[in-house]
Amino acid sequence: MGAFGNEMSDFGETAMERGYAGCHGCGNTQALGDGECHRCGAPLHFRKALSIQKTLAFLATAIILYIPANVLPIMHTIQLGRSSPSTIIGGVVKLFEHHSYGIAIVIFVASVFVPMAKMLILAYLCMVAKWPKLSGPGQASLLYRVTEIVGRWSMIDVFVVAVLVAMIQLGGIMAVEPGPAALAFAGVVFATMLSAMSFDSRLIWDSQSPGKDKA
Amino acid sequence: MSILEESSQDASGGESELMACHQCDLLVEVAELEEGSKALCPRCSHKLQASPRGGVSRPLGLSIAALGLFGLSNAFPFMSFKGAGQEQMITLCHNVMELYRHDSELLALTVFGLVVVLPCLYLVATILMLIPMRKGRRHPAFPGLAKIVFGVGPWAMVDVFLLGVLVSLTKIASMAKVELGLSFIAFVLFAAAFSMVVSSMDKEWLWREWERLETK
Ligand SMILES: [Zn+2]
Ligand SMILES: [Zn+2]
Repeated sequence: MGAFGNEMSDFGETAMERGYAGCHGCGNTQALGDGECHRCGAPLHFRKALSIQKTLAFLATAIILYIPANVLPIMHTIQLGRSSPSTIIGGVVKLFEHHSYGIAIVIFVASVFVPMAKMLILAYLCMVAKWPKLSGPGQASLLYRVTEIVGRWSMIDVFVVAVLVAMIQLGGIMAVEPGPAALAFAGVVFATMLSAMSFDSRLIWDSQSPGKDKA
Repeated sequence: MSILEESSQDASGGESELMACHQCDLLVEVAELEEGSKALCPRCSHKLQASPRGGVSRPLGLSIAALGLFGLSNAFPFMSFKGAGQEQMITLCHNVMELYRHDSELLALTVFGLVVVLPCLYLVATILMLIPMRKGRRHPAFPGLAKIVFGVGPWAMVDVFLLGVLVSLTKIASMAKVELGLSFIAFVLFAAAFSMVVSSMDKEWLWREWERLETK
């Protein structure tokens, strides 16, 4: 029924228009009242306070951490006394050279594509919330949902380093040491997750408020 | 009992609830859900509420099984690695200790938190929360436990860690012989059970069930 069209008149009204708020803690929908959920006690609000500012602050943190995460080595492989550092991208390239295309693609998607896409999408969503004409709300909230679901999978590379460090400890013959980029990259994943959690997706629907013409 | 009394009864006589969609704020009337069904927002198709098949018993049973499997996966060697005449055997906790030994305390803490502490906290809180519910009792600890469970949920990365292990295995396999231990199988089953628990814990549905116990 054309759920994502511009015509929203076939839907009722939003909670905010009626003076109701959905609780983040328990999902209970109630009159805003004194700003506290009568079921679970969580603070109630129509829209998350300072949502865009918080989203952007975490996003900026992620972008800053993304630089050391890519420039510094994520691990050192020590073979016969020779230490060779490898960065995230360097690791992907090496996997390609060794014809491990499957893993190369997994690591590339999780460590390069997803974090980049996530940061771009979050920035885009903040813009859509500010300038609604940029995108239809259906498309924007689909992007948001995908971002929320996919984000945590970026942690793979950090876990790979952790497992390799634990596994490959053969004295002087061969050893793997963690590099500083591993922690920076974990920071990127945390910051993008917090950024996505701070974003209030209802903001991208507000311009299309079903009962707006009534008001 | 509810502030939204005007819509607490629908045509069929079952109890329906007015809910604001979390994603788009549309007010939607959600009727009593049948087991195994879910309600989607008509405007943005976000999930409003989902009732898992098997009710409360399913996540409860799975949580207990998952905790047992987790214990098992710590009891035996996770995998062993043979190369250049040496053999390396590791357990799950060994994994974290090794990071710690390499002056990567923060990294060790991160991995330990995401793979061990938070998932266990999630499971224990889930079990404590669901046992009284299964007995039909409204326990006052529910709100606090629910806060822990749904706050911790997105940060418990068991499934991601498993994929990370599989990727590192294929990386190592090209260098040396890797043997998977009993613990590895236990961990795979633990990850599967854990994901099933997470997917059958619906916040809105659980709170609605709990509130019903109160009025009984
Ligand atoms: Zn609440
Ligand atoms: Zn919606």
